[in-house]
Amino acid sequence: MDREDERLKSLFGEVGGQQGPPLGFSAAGVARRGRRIRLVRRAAAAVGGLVVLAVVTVSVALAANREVEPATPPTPPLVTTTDGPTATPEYLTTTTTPTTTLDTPTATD
Amino acid sequence: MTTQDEDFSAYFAARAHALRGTAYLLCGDWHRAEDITQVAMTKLYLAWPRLRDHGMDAYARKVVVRTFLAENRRLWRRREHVTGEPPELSTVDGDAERRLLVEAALTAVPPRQRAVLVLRYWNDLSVEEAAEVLGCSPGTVKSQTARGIDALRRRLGPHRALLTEEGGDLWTGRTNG
Repeated sequence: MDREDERLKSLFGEVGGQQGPPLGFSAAGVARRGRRIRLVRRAAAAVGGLVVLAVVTVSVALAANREVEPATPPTPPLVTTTDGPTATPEYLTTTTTPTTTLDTPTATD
Repeated sequence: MTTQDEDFSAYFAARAHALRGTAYLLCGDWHRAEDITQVAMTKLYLAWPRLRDHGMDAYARKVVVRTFLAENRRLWRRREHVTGEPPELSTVDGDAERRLLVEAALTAVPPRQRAVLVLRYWNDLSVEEAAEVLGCSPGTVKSQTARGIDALRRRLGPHRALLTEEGGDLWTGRTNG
């Protein structure tokens, strides 16, 4: 298998190592194209950043200016009944006030 | 010209032809090989600042192979027309004939298997390195290599002895004799 590997390497070397036609592009051309692509990418990134910033700003502004609904009053607690003796509220007890009558003086005195 | 451009120009001068050789072995067409190499070189230029002084060859090779495979997936780029038999080549010298036979046989090997063969036998990569380039497991590389060699052998037909040292010697003896 090793000999076959060596033979394959030799054959591939013959095919891949051919001179071929002269290169149709140069390092300067590739660099020029690369710089242009870099420029376009930077511009796209800047535009993208601005768009994101605008979206965030608008969202925050909308959230801040939204009308706040009045708070609903808290619901009263539920009344619970228990089996034990219940204390009568003070306002339900009746008190009797003693009344004194003064004797009116008579004319005989 | 910036330092990056100078470094890139030096790298380009040293490696562009070898890279195009890889692309040519993959696609069997000089024009397409040039397109693929140009794409790879442009991507390499863009990635240059983060690649620094290492990994440029591996990166460029990866771009070439992946660009080739991506193009092959697009139906409209499939312009290889495999003929039934290897070409009849009686008017060229022995080396050129052998080269053309191998080229013709290689175009008949499925693209992914061809990529494995090129990485293993032209770029001289190990199974693990080839797996890294192709983004697959070493086991897949091994199986694809075996299938690729088998396809190459089948395609070479009566000339399959070219793949053995004895066959190469026989060929040389026949053409020189």
